Amino acid sequence: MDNILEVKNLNIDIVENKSTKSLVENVSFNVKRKGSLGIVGESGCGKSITAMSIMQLLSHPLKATKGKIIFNDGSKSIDMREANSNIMRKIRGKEISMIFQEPMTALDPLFTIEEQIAEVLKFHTDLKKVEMKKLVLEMLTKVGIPQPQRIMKNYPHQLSGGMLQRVVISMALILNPKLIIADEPTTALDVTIQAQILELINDLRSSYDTSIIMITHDLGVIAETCEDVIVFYAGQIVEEGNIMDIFHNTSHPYTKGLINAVRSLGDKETELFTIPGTVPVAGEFSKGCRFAERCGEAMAICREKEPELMEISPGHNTRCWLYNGGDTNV
Amino acid sequence: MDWFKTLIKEIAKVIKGLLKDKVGRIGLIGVLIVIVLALGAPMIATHDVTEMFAKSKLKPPSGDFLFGTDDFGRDVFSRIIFGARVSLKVGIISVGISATSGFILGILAGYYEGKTDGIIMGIMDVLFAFPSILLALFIVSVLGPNLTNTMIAIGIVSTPVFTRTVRASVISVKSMEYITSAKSIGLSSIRIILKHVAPNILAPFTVQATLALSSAILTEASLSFLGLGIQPPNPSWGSMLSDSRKYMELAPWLAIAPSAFIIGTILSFNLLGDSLRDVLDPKFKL
Repeated sequence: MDNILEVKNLNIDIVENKSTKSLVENVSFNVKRKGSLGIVGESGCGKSITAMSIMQLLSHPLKATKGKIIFNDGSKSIDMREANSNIMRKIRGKEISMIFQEPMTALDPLFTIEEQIAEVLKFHTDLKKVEMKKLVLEMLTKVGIPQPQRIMKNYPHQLSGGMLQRVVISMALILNPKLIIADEPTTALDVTIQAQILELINDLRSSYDTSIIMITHDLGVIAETCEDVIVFYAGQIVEEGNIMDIFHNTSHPYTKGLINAVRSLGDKETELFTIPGTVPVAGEFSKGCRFAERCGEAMAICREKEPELMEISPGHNTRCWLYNGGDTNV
Repeated sequence: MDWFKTLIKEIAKVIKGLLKDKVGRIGLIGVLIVIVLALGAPMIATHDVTEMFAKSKLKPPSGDFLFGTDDFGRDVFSRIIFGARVSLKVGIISVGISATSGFILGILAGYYEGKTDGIIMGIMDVLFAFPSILLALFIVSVLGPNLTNTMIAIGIVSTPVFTRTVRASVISVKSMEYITSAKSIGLSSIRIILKHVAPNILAPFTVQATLALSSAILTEASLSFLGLGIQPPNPSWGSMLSDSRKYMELAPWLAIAPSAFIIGTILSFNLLGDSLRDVLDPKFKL
């Protein structure tokens, strides 16, 4: 099997007062071994909770209700949804680890950098204190922290956001996990630091042979780091393919809109391109295509019937009636 | 012993912060005075608390009897000093009871939410619905009036406040990314609670404990005033105040001395708590 992670027909619901709303519907995707998958979408489209569900970190009222999440580390495959908490705890941090969005809050303010990184080692290994310290020091050097000897004695509030994100990355990588889930790792950082962090992630990924899932709303980040891309809209995958498909052979009007929005940024003559309207609220989707209300190319059928995800070229799928062979009378 | 050193260092930092603040300074000094009085009571007191001087009943303050004497001819000053022992003991033990149970219940309710939360907070809301003195009265009259039962009653009565404070802080800490991060590196719930949740809610908890101490002392005084707390001839500020009513016009010092001490002690603890809140607030650090 050359996929490290296979997600099949995943559904995530929010259960409140006995009413159930579906937040993520029928999502399937694979992460290739040593591959990099980008998940892109607006805020609230379900991309972060999809990532959390891989680690089984969803808490009440969110729940993964259907589907399979199969993690295959080469020797054995585990369905994460059925794994008990003991197995899960051994996987977390060791086999799969996460990089968080807000480095400022991702570290406990009461412990030093060294203590927090060593905590991962303490739980997953039997190393002695001295060895742990050596490893922490090594890791901090690898992520490009100057004077790691001094920095590791510092508390989180004494470091800048970019430095903290490096610490978080070193925490995620110290046990050499097989898969990293990066949930908007650069969103809270300023642009110059963003570039450095992305470069760091790219470098470390190739030297550690790790797979990565990069969750972001920034197509620029996707372009920098990913080989495969899935585009989320309102809890569904609307387009998936490799990076060339997505950027040069864009098919779904939503993806086109996202790309236009980024492209118009550099153009002083034209106004910033935006996709009109807002994301529909979960539980209030119309019977047709979820994007129809905001779509410039919407046809009659788009408001009547929901399109399926269909293949338009090998490996490139899209959820849009425009590509259904012109058959609009269904 | 590394954590012990850090603890000492932290405590020293807090005390330094308290001394910098005018309100904190007054509170700290007041509390220290009460502690010294209670610990050194046998040395400070000028007479035996139960010794009756038949010839000098209801005498006004003088050189021999600093705060005068009561209707049995006992020295009020000595009784006040020994009363500080009772107050402090009741305060510390009953707050110990309520703080411990409130801490555990609050963490369970806040961390696990759902049904656990519903059951715990339901019980706490029922306890909260009673006026605290009424509930304490009820518990003491069921268990029987003595010092131990008074402390148990006050402990039960002030548990809901702790549970609520702790639960609210746990819920806010729980939503922080470092808790998700701790989960994502594979730590168990117990370890997350002990290592990352509990230390992070210690500040509001400490403040609550200081404030609860003063209300526990007040409740003990009220219970003793009503005759359900400390039983005579043992001295307690509340019972002394209660006994003074009969001679209010004849010997006002009997009422003034215990009142002044109750007010002073409670004010000191409240000021200390107030200042502690500022000192422990991370926004005021750096």
